[in-house]
This record gives sequence, C-alpha cells and structure tokens, in this order.
Amino acid sequence: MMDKALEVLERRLSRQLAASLETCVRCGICADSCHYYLADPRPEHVPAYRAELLRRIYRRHHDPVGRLFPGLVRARELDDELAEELIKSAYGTCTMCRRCVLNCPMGVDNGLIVRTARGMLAALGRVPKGLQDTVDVHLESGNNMAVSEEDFVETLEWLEEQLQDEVDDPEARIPVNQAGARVLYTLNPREAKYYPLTILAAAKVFYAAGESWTLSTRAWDVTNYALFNGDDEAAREIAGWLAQEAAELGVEEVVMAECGHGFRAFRWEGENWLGRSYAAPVRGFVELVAEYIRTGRIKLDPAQNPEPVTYHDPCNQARNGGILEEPRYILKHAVADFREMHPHGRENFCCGGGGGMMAMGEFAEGRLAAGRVKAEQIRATGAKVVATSCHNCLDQITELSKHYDLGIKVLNLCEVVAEAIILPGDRQ
Amino acid sequence: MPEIEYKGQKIEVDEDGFIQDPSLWNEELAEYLAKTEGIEELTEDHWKVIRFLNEYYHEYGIAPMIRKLCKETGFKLKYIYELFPSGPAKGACKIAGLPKPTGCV
Amino acid sequence: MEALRLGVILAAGVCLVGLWLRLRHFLSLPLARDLSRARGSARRGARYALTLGMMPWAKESTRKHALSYIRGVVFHLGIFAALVALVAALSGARPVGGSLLLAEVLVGAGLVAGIIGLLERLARPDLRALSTADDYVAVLVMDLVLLAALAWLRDPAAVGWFYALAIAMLVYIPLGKIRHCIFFFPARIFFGRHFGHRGVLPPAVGGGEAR
Repeated sequence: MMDKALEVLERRLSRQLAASLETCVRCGICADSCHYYLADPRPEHVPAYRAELLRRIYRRHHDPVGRLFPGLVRARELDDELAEELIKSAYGTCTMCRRCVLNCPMGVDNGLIVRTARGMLAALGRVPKGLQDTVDVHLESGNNMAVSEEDFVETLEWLEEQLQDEVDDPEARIPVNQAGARVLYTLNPREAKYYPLTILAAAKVFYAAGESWTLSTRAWDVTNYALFNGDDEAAREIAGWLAQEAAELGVEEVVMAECGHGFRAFRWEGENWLGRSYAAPVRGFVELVAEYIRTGRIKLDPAQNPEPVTYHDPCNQARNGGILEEPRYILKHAVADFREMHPHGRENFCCGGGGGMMAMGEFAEGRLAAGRVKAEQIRATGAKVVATSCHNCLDQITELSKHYDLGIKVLNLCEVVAEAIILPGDRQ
Repeated sequence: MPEIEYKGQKIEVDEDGFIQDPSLWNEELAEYLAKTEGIEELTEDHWKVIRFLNEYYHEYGIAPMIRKLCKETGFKLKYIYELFPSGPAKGACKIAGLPKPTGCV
Repeated sequence: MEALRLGVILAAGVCLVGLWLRLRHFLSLPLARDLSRARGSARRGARYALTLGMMPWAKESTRKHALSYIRGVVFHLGIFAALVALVAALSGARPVGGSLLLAEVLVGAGLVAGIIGLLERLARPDLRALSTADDYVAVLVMDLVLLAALAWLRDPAAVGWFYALAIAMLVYIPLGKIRHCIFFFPARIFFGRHFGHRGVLPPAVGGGEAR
C-alpha cells in the first residue's frame, strides 16, 4: 500500500538528498531557527525532528544497520501511523521556508527533505484537501481559481479603463497576447478574481516606464502550488505551460508578479522539473522595478508615502531566491521612512503562511501561533505599513495584524511604488 | 470539523469559518457570520453584495469575479473593501455562505 | 600488545572498507543538476560554505549558541588530536615536550566537551526526543577513546586500553552517525553551491544579515 510513496523516495534520491539524509548528527542547534519552535518549543517543532521522520524510512531501506538492527538507529517502515505523523509534520508545522537550512552547521537541506516527504504523501493521495484542491483546479482550468478566459479578458478590459482614468491617458493599455512584446507578465489569480488593484498598480508602473509588455490569456497564472504539495508531475505540467507560452510569444523575458512561491517555482525550480532550459530568462517584478529606478525609467516621490514602512522578505524571494537588495533599493526611493525589521534579508523569519499553509485550514491555529514571531518583529519596528512582495505573505500578515492587534496596513511593493510614481506627463 | 452553534442548531464550518453545507445558509446565519468577521450591523449595501454573491454561487457553482460584483452592485471596488474589511473572499464570500475558494486567499 | 596493535590496523581496514561501501552507495545515486540560470556563483558559495560560513558568527544559530558550537569544535579538535596520537602510538613514536602538552590539552578539552555533549543530550527533552541509540553510543565511544588517548599520553602503559577502544571506534565509524566525517563534505558543498547559484551566499556587505 505504501509502495507508491517508497517509489517516490527511490526516484528522488539524488546525491543531494542522500547527503542531507546521511549528515545530520541531531545536534539540535536548528531548533530555534524555526518559528514554530520559537512560538511553541516542543520537540516535534525542531527542524531535525521533522527530517528524522523521513530519515527513519530512508534508514530502513538504505542503511544496512537500519535493515538488520532497526532499533539501534530508529529505522522504521512507512506505515499508516508514520504517514499520519508525516502529514502533521511536513504539511502541518513546516512552511518550507528553509531558515533552518541556512542555520545548519552541516548544511542539511531540511526543505528538500520535507518536500520529498510531501511528494511521497502526494503519491498516496494524502495531501491536505485545500492544498490538493488548489493544484487540481490549476491543472483542470489553467489557473488556481478557475477563472474563465472570458472573465479574465473582461476584467482586464475593465481595469484598462481604470488605468486610463488613473493616468489620464486614453491610450494607456493593458496588452494581451502581444507576440514580440519585450516582457511577458504574469498574475496571481486572486488579483484578477478579488484584488485587482495590484494589477492596476503594476500596469501603472509599466505605463510609466514605457515598457513593451503583455499578459497572456493562455498561460498567465504565476502560482504553482505543486511546489507545496510536492507532486513533481503536476509541478512540471504547470511550469511547462508558462515556459511554452513565453517561447511562443517570443518575449525577451518573463516577469513574475509579486508572488513568493510562484517566483521560486518558475525561476529556480521549473527548468529542473522540465529537464530543459527556458527560451527566455525569468525575473521577479521587484528586480525589474529596481532596474527602472536605477536607469531612470520611472521617477518616484517618496513624500507620497510618508508613513513609516518596513519590509517583509518573502522566504521564497529572499532566502530561496536571492532577491535581497532590490526591495530595499525600491523602498528607499519610494517611501519617506523605511525601517528594517530584525533579522531580515536571507535571515528573515517566515510570516508563517508559507508552504501552502494558507490553503490548509486544518493547521490554521498553529499557523497563527507560529506567526507570533513575525508579529513581534513587525511591532518592534513601529512601522504603520508592512510592504512585502507576495500575496500569500500579505494575507498572513493581514491576519496576524488582526490576531495580534498590530494596527498595520499590508501592501505589495507595486502598490507602494504606484503611489509614489511621478507620471511622465507630470514631470517638470 | 469545528461547529458553530446558532439558534440551537449546530452547523459545521471549516477551520477558517466557512460553512460546509451551503444549503444551510439563510439571512440570519449571515448576520451571525458577519459578527465573526467584525461587522456588527449589516447595512442595505452589505446585503446587496451578499445576496448577489449567494445567488451567483447557486447559479454557477463558483464565486463571481470582483468585476461582476462591482458591475452588478454598482459599487466601487474600494467601497466593497470598506464594507468587508477581511476582503471579498474571506469576508463577503464567507458571510454569503460560499465555500472557501482555492488559491491564495 | 602486538596482537592489539594488529587489531587496530585490521579495524582501520574494516573502517575504510565500511566507509567505502557507504560512499559507493552514495556515488551510485544521480547528481541533481541545476538547469536554472545562475544569479550568483555556485563555486563561490561552496568555498564560502567550507570556510567563512563555518565561523561561529556566520549564522544566527551558532551566534545564539556560540558555547554549544565551540564545545562541538573543541570535541572535534580533541578527536583529531587523539587520532594523531593513535597513529603515533602505532608507529612507536610518542610526543614529547610542547607537542605532548598540546596533545594533552586538546584531548583533555575534547574529552570534557564530549562528556558535556553526552550530558546535554540526556538532559534536554528536545534532544532526547530527537536521539537514536546511535547518538549516545557514538559519543560514548568517542569519549572513551579520548579518555584512553589521554591516559596513554600521560602513561605509555595505557596503550592496551587505547588500542582496544580504538578498535571499537574504528569498527563503529561506518555503522553509525560518525560517518558524517565523510558526508559532511558533500553536504556542505551542495549547500554552498545551491545558495551560491541563487546569489544568496556568500553574503554581500549590507546583504540584510541580522547582527
């Protein structure tokens, strides 16, 4: 019955994974790098403990000592009980933020281990429902909220009118399916469905920069929740759509909307899932905006954002994606009072909503409890606005604000930038 | 599965507070759910949004796009966010008895 | 005594064969290649991971738990010193003067660090929950070897104990977690290459570290 899960382990057992499974000496120094452990210091919240659950199975199958004397090294066959424990551990108390990886003296990749465990559970059909539904809807409809093409196009037309009002230019466009555009932009379906102001903000930035850009009606979803459910087949299929669309439109680059995991999935993992390189390079929206500012393509007036602002680094952009300097560069130009939280950058704490946690309601209580670390970090800055670059972080921090009474406003960077932008016509 | 007790009746909700069986929804339940979202009193404008969401869901089996909501109610986007501080998905849809949407909400 | 000496040499052979079998399994696995476009340099990341990245101030965990980390470093230095002492004993040499003192200090400090490590593992509930029998046995075996090495450094008559415990250690190395002595290197290099490729490590000046 568990064979399918074990097959996944065998298939994914690379030298990288094996090194991480072999090397841990269970020193436990990783414990308080994890926000779950800090909020509730239980043994099960030690990152190495989570990894041990998979290690037990690995030892049972790949360690002669584990095969002959399983008790000596706690080797264990995967059974229903262990699968249940894995679900609670790998899905329920880990956001795959990989903060513990950076903090491991040995370099053990707990993120890789947890995602492998998730992939094994996915093969057993035991992904928590909300997360699996999101992947399934994406595979069935082409985006993770089942937005129809007609609805999508209508929404973009409606937003185009608003853009024209906003920039006072009837020629302002939100281009769709433009072959040969320089940039293929992507969106998080929630933007089209519920929160279109970020689309408007990004369109305003592109307008001000005079960018040649386009959206696609065929492949436009920035997300890839298969990064989180651990299912490589699904991840490959979803990444493949966008890769193909970029090649067909012949764009110079693909720019990922402000979505932490979507950026990581397509920028860093996608080519490895597909087993081939993309036709065009991939960047995050933040990287592009920083370039616009640096090269003078957009001008900002920081006085438009007078309130104190701090920045939350999405784990999947910063620690797992290398986008460290750009958001700070942008904010220093876009707001009057920028304050760092501590720690930040690659060492930043996860907001608590990563790893698909927002889609798994059954773990909401632990998610909000573990978010206390982030809430305290934010409170200590005294900022009134938290800027971030991820819709998921934005939602979690908004919930944290409510739960911990932070009294803050949470915005995506594009909104902060759009507020500060000096339109070409207004430049004197 | 958590439950809410409402008028002596136990109603199943998911962990985020979305009711599990949309057929159990009624306007009094909406008032109750609104309070859990920090809305003390539902105004006529709230009801306009809630009724449209509920009817649309029963007709199409999915939540409408925010654009449709704006168009049908005649409200501006920002006004809808003001009406429902937890947002159209987690706030308005929940009160209107829709299930939790997939994706990043 | 000659029998024990030969025993040590034989055990060393067993140890090497055991480690080689482990390594062979490891090398039989595919190497995952990263096809994504580099933002930084995998090579620089790996170099960092093996050098400055090992410094106690390089990461939050070892800054917060500097004493624990240094305890671990002292333990390992003691082990290396004991291994050098073992080679010396086998070849009939003995350190004298300054090098004897240095060896005694390193091995003695390593022993103290090792005992503290064992006690810490027994005392902390989260470490106990994490531990397997191997975690206790491995440290215990090493502590005993350190003790025997120290005894031999102080009195050549203890060579029998030193040899006997060295045999136990050498046979145990490939069986338990002490084999991290070989896997540490690929793990650290993979780590460095991965984060180096993504431009996350090494940290640039002002790269957002907590200090």
